[in-house]
This record gives sequence, structure tokens and C-alpha cells, in this order.
Amino acid sequence: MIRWKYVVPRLVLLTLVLVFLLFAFNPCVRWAAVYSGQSLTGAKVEIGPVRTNWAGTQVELGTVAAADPRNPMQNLMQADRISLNLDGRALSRKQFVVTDGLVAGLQFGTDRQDSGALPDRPQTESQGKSFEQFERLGKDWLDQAGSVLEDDLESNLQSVRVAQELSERWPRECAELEAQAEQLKLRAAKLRQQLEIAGKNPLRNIMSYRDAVVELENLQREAYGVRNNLERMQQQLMMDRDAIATAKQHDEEMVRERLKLAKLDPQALSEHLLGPELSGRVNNIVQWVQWGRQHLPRKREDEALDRNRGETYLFGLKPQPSVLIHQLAIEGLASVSGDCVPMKGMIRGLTSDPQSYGKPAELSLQAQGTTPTTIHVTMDYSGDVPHDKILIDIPTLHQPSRMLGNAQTLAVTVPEGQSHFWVLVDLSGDELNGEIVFKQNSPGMLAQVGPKYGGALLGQSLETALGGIQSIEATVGLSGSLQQPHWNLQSNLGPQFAAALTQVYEQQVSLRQQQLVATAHRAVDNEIAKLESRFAEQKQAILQKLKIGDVELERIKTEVANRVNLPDALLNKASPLREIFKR
Amino acid sequence: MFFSLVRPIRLLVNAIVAEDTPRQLAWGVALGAVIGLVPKGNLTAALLMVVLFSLRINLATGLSSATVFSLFGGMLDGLTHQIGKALLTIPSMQGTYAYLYQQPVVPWTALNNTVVLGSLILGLCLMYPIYRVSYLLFEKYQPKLAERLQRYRVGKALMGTDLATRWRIQ
Repeated sequence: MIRWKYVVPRLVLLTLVLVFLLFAFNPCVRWAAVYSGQSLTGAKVEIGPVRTNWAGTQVELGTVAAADPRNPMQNLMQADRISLNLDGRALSRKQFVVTDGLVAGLQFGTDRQDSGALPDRPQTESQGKSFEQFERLGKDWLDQAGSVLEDDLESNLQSVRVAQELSERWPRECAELEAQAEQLKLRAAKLRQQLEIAGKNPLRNIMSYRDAVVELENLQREAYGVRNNLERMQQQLMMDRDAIATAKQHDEEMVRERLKLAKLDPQALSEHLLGPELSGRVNNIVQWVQWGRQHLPRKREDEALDRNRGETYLFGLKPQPSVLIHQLAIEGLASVSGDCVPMKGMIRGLTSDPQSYGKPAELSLQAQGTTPTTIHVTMDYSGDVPHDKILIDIPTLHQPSRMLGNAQTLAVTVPEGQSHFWVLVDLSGDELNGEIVFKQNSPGMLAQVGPKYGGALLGQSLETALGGIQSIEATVGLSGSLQQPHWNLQSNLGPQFAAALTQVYEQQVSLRQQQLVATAHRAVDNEIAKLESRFAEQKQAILQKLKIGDVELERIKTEVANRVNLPDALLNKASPLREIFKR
Repeated sequence: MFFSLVRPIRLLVNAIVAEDTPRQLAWGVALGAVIGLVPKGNLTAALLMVVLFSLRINLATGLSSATVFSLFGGMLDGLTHQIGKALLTIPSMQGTYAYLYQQPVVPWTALNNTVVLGSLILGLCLMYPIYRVSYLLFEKYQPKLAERLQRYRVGKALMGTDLATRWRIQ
């Protein structure tokens, strides 16, 4: 007799187990893969349908997409299919060893329709450093050069200012003298009229002769004073010319001093021109290394297990990693400098316990097509000190026409061409070492100088000077730590460009100096010539007026002498008659 | 949530009112205790479950006992770790352990973990005393309890929640 009470529950449970294996096992594997992937990347991982064989030694994951935690709207990687062949013997010993596998249709950095950020995790910030300081270093010199050329030195020319002061002062003083001479002339004429009136009745008007003599003496004295002033002004004119000559010398020194350029640092210029372009590549590489260090397992698994419950003993046996990928082929598309090129590669020795495995993990990728690329990454976490090594070689990287630097300040437009890009990054512990070498044949570079720094005129001169540069070679030395990397950029572009730029700027500065000095001299000479000419005219006019006055005075003197029938001598200063008149 | 809270009580009620013998009920409790004490997620726990389902013992008491002892399993980690450690570090056994550990399937049992081995040993040691005590209790109280539970509405309600018990076939 069948004991149904015993059989039925067991049958039901057995059926449930079978149903689980048939329908729920693959979803469970998918769930486990998604969970592990998300723990590893810190962002969403999406996996399509999963298929396994009955023994669980073959696993195929369809359409795998892992979001980029730094940019959730992009995928870190996307693959059409991942096929894994597991080692059955290892699986029976609780080890997931992928003997071989294939990642087909792999692409990096593809766009996502939705955000790949996990809801409960903060977005990972980029830790890369920028090359802002590179731009600043070159710009400082350009700012100084621009300000030198733009400086308003004309308004500071002392000789011009002195000449302008004189041109204002001299006419005023000459006009005063001329007015005095005119006054003397008028007074002499008036005195003569008075004498003529007095001549009609000499005896009654004898006293008016005395006043006429006094006025005559005053006029003579004042005329003498005006002549003295004219002489003094003549001497002052000579002194003012000397002052202007001294001011001219001062101006020339001032112009030379103000139009002096600081020595341009060729390296700073290299950094200004090439830094921004190379910084993106350096930051990208450093961020990938940081990501690898952050997410790839390094600690021993048994150490991690011991933190949970109890201790796990291996009885003197060598610990084996629970997950190990012996080799995993990669096929897909890589984006190299904007071009999508077919790519093939291999991952070897990727494991959950590198210290137990004892060998480094290696990734090698070869991109074919128009931009052949070789990437070889070694991640050796088997020792106490993790060691990463990245080698990237792109011998014929197509470079579109592009502008280096900043068009508002100084830029070089490099024409379309091929370049060689080579990177070696060696990270031992936290100590970063490396080199990035960039070389591009680029005859016919065009220079652009911002309006503030000289504009198109200077740009043309620079282009001529740059004609000799046939290629751009740059080497970026990497040092410091992963958290605080330092760059040292050396390039042939900087020194050659600096030489050309300095030459052009010096020419411009020299020209500007000459222009300024010539402007000053011209202005001063012009002012002095005008001044002298005007002074001569005014002096002539004053003397003419004084001469007329003298003639007038002589006639008055003669007339006074005739009227009183006395010789002229009697009217002289010490004559007794004069004394009589005075009484 | 409600059903998961009520589940151990429901299983116990079903076990009490079932027509199994006190011996079957007691072995269910004893084996359930071993399953409850052993950490899950390894082949040892799975094999114990298979044993539970394979033997002619009461499943209800076994599952309810496993649920209850699982709650205490974590508290006994210190003790089970010491037991497991003492066993796993026996010098003369290292070679045997190493040999066993290298055999297929054995690593899945996680018996090289001190807590897993210690809790299994502790469970096995407690198995018979638990059986004896349970047996005595079931022998004395099961008929009376079964009669009362079948009479009152609470008992009926708890029994009714398990459809499987209604569909059982003799």
C-alpha cells in the first residue's frame, strides 16, 4: 500500500526543485550576475536572457550593459553576448573557473536611454586633475605682452608735456611785453601832443615842460625795461630748449623701460598650447586606473570570509580563488579619436583573489582599421603592493584640423594629419610614473592672436615665423600619486613658438619704441619751431613798437629843447635847469 | 508578513493535530533543530533538508523546529566556533581534512568553516536529547492538545491557513 501522506509532500517538493532548475535557475544566475556587477561597478548592470546547460558549465548572457558610475547616461561597457565555459571539476570544488569565453559586440562609452545611477548610491565624482594651470602659465606672458603693446605711453611723454606748457606760456608772456610796448608808444604820442599844445604859449606852459621831462624819463626807463625783458626771454628760451632736450632723454629711457618684455618660458607656452588637449587623455587614463584600483578585488577571499561567521581552514592547502577567468576573448568596436574601429582582445587571469592566484591579470586589445591601436594592461595585485602597468600605442592616429590654445589669446591651428600617440603608465602602490609621447607631422600651422594681444597683424608675422616647424612633439612626464598626479609637459612646439613669438613681439616692441620716440620728437620739434617762430615775430613786433617809441621820444626831447632854447645838455639829468624845473 | 509570523505556530498546530506518532513528531523536532542551528547557504544545510524530507518523520514539526532554532543559531556562534575550531585544528586530522577538502562537492559543504562544523556537531549532539524530551512531551500532551485545537476556532483558523494540510490524502 502506497503511503500517500508520506509520498505526496515529497513529490511536491521534488517537483518544485525540478521546476526551479528548469525555470528559475537561469533567472537566479542572471540576478546573481546583476548583483555582482552592480557591486563591482557601483552603477546599474542590465543583463538580457541567461542560458545555462544542464550541468551549469556553460553560461551565456545576452545583451549586457554596465552603466558608468561617473556618467550615468553612458555605459561603461556594453556587449551583445557573453559566453562562458566553466571548468566542471573546479565547479565541483566550489570554484567558478572560466576556462575560456567570448565577449561579443563589446563597445565602450555608449549612450543610455535612462540613467544608470543606482537609487541609493551617490554619483561618483571624477577625481581627475585638470590642466587649467597650463593655460594660465602661457596666458600670463601674453597678458604682459599685450599690455606692453597697449600701454598708453603717449600721454606719459614728458618732453611733449613740457613743450605744450611752453607753447602756452610763451605767447602769454610775449603778449604782455607787446602790450607794454604798445602802451609806451601810445604814451609817447600823447606826450608829443601835449608838447605841441604847450608850444603855442611856451612861457605860460613852462611848468608843463617839467612834467614832460619826467614823463620822458619814465618812458625811456620803461622802454629799457621792456628791452631787458626781451633779452631775458631770449635766454629763457634757450634754457627751455635744454629742459625739453632733458625731457626727451627721460622719455626715451621711460619708453625703453616700459616696453621691456619678460622672458617667455617655452615650457609654459607648450603647456598653454598642448596642455588642454593632452589633459583629457591623461585624465581619462588616470580615471580608468583609479576605477580599476577602486573596484577590482585585491584582498584575499579567506580574509573577507573570516569577517562573517567563524573561520575557514584550508588545512595547509594553497588557497584558490573562487572566481577565475583564465581567458576571455573580446570582440567589438572601439572608438579611437572619434572613429569606430573593429577591436579584438583577450583578458587573462582576472580573478576575485589575485593574491591566491599569484599572477597578474592582463588585458590586451588590438584595434584594426584606419586607426590601429594596441592596448596592453597588466594589473598585478598578487603581492602586497598593487602594481598596474598600461601601455597604449596608436601609431597612426588620425587628427582632424584643430586649434591648440585659445583663440582669444594665442592659438595655433594645426592642419589635419596623422599622429603617433604612445602612453606608458606605471603605478606601483600609489606611486605614479609614466610618459605620454605625442608626435604629429604638421607643416603649415596657422597662428591666431587675439585682438588684445596684437591681432591679425601679429598673427601673420607669427605664421611666417612658424613656417619652419615641421612637426609637433610633446612628452608628458607623469609623477606623484594616483590621488595627486603631477604632469610635466615638454614639447618642441613651445621653444620654437616662443622663439618666433619673442622675435615678433620684440620687433613690434622695437617698432613701437621707435614710433613713440619719433612721435615725441616730432611733437616737441614742432612745438619748439612754432614757439621760436612766434617768439621771433613777436619780438620783432615789440622791437618795432619800441623803435617807434624811441623815435617819438627823440623828437619830444628835441622839441622840448628847442622850445626853451636850451641845448639838449641842459635837459640832461644833472643840468641846473632841470633842477630849477624840479623846484 | 503576517503569514511568515504565524507560520511556526501554524506548523506546530498542524503537527500536533496530525495523525503522526509522537516518535515521528519528536524526530521532526530533533532534525529540525540541527537544520536550524547550521548556517544556511551551503551543501550541509541542503543535505540536512533532503534528509528531513526523505525520512518518515513529521515535516511540520521539522520545519517549525528549524525556524525556531535558526533564531538561536546566530547567538550560539561563539560556542559553535570554538567547537569547530577544536575539531578543525586537530593535528592528526589535518591530512584527512586536506584530502577531503580536495574531493569534488566537499568544498560546497563548508564544513571547513568553524561555525558550520561546530553547529553541525552541536546539533547532532543535541539531537537525541531533543528527541527524548520532545517524545515525552508529545506522548503526554499531543492527544489532549489536538482535541482542544480541533474544537476551538483559533486552532481551526490556523489549520485552515495551510491549504496543503486540507488537501492531504491518506
